[in-house]
Amino acid sequence: MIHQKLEKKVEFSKQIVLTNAGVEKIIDTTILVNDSNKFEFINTFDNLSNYDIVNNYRDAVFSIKNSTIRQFIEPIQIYIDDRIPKEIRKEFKVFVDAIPNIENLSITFVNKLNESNYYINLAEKDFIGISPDILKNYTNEERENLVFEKIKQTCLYDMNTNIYGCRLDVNTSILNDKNVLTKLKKAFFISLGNFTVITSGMPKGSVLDFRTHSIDRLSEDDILLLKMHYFHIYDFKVDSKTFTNFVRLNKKNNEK
Amino acid sequence: MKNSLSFIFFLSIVLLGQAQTKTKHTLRKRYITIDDYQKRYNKPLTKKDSLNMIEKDGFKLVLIEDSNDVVKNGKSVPYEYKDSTFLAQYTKIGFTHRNNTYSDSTTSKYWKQPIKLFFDKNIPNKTKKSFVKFAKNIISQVDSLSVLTVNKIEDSNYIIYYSNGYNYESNLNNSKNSDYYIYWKNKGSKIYKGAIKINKDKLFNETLRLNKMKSHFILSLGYFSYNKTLDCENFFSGCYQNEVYLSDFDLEILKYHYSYGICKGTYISTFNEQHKRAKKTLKQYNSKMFFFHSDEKTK
Repeated sequence: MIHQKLEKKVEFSKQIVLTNAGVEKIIDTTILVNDSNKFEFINTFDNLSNYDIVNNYRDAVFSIKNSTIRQFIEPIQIYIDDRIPKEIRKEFKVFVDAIPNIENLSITFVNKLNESNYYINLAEKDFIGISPDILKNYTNEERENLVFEKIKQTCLYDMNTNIYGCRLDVNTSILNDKNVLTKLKKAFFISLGNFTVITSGMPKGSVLDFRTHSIDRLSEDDILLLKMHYFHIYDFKVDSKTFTNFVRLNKKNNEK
Repeated sequence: MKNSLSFIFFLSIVLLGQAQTKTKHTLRKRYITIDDYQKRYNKPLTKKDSLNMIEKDGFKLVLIEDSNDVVKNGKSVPYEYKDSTFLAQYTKIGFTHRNNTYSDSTTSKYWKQPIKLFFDKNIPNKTKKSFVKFAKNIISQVDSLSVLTVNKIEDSNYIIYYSNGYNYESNLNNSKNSDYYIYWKNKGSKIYKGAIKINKDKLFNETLRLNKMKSHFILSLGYFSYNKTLDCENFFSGCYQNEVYLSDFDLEILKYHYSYGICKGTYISTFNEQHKRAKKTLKQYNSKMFFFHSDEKTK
C-alpha cells in the first residue's frame, strides 16, 4: 500500500563551523527526511471518488499493458512550421486557445523553433505511420479517420516517463484531407497524456472515442480528462496499480 | 645514539609493466659513515661494502644493506570523512552495476587525464560555446579534472557529434536516442575516451540538443547513474531540467568522486571497507588514515 511506500528524500547542507583551534571549517551533512507531503494531494483529488470519471481515465491512460501516467512537466510552447497552410495554423490555434485554464497545464504558441518544446512540422518526405499488418484490419472508411497514418508523434521522456518535448510530423498529403484539422487536434490531445484511442467505452464526442470523426472544440469530458491528468504532477512513475491505490486512499480518507 | 650522517640518494628508474603503462618510481639507498656502520653492525666492512662506498662532503659512506627500496612517487592524502547517508547516496550514483545487478567488484570510473573535446563541424558555434562554458564552469570546481577543446580529432579523446553527420563512435551507431559512450581499461576504472551522439531529429532545436549534451557529459564524468531517491531539484535525480544545472549536492557528489581522500577506482566492496576502517581509526584514535596515490601515468 501507499503508506509503506512513503519515501525518504535526501537533504544536503553545508555549515561553517569553528574548530577548537579557531579555524573555520566547512562541514557538510546529508540526512534522510520523511517525504510526508508526497501523497497529500490525494486528500483534495475529488475526482478520484467519481466512479465514471475514474473509469474513463483508466481507459484513456492504462489500456495498454504496463503503461504509466505521462505528463508534460514543462509549460508547452508550440511552434508550427510555416509551410503548414495559414488557415490550418489559425484554426488549430483557436482550438488550443479555447481549452480553459487547467492547473499545471500551460499551453502557448511561440514564433521561434528554438523557444519551443512542441514542434508541428511538415515532413520532408511522405510516410505511412501505421504498418500494413495493422492497416489491413480497418475498412477504407475507418482508415480515413486514423490519426497516425499520416501524422507521426515523437515525444521526449525523462526518467519518470514524463514528457519534456514532442514533435508531430505531418505528411504533405494530409493537407488535402477534409479532416486534416480533426486529425491534428486529435494528435495534439493524445500527446498531452499519451492517451489511447479506444473503440468503445469513451464518452460520445471524446477525442479518444474511435467513432468521433469530427472535432471542433474539446468536449467537456475531454476537458475533465485533462483536469484529472494534470491535477498533480508526479515526480515518480505511476502505473495502474499505484493509481488504484490513490483511489483507495482517497476513499479511505473520505470515510474518516 | 651519536649523530650519524646519513645520506639518502634517489635514483629514477623506468619500469615497464604493461605495454601502455610507464611508471616512474624512486629507488632509495641509504648510506652511513664507516664509524657508524661498525658500531651498528659490530663487524668489519666486507669487500662488497667497499665496492658500494661513496664519498660525500669529505666523508666516506657505506651503503646500508637491504636499503634498496622502491618508493613510488606520489602523494599521501588524509581520509576525507563523509557521513553514511552521503556515502549511501554516492554509491548509488558513483558505482554503476552491469545490467543493474549489484556486484561487489563493480568499480567507480574516473578520468585521470584531461578531457580533450572535439566538436563535429555540424554543431553550431553558439551551441559549442555554451557547452564549453558550462563544462569548464563545472570542472573548474572539481580538483584533478580538466577540460580543453582541440581543433583536430587526432588530438582529442572526447568527440561530440550530431546524428546527421559522420558516426564517430561505432558503439553508438545503433542508438536511436541521443547517448554517450566511454571507454575504460578492461576491469579497470580509468576512463580514457568518450563520445556523445545527439539525435538531431528527436531533439528538434538547439536548446534541446545543448541540454542533452550537458546531461550526457556530466554522466560521462564518472559513468554515473541516476538516483531516484533524490529530489527533482538535483541533476542526479534523473528528473528533467529545463536547463541542466548541478545543485550543491550534485556538485558535492562530483567533487567527492574526484577526491583523493579515499582510494580511487576501487571495487565497491573495497570502497565500503576502507571507509569502515578509516572511520574506526578516526573514532578510536582520533587520527586520520592516509591514502597514497602514486604518480602513475597512462599513455
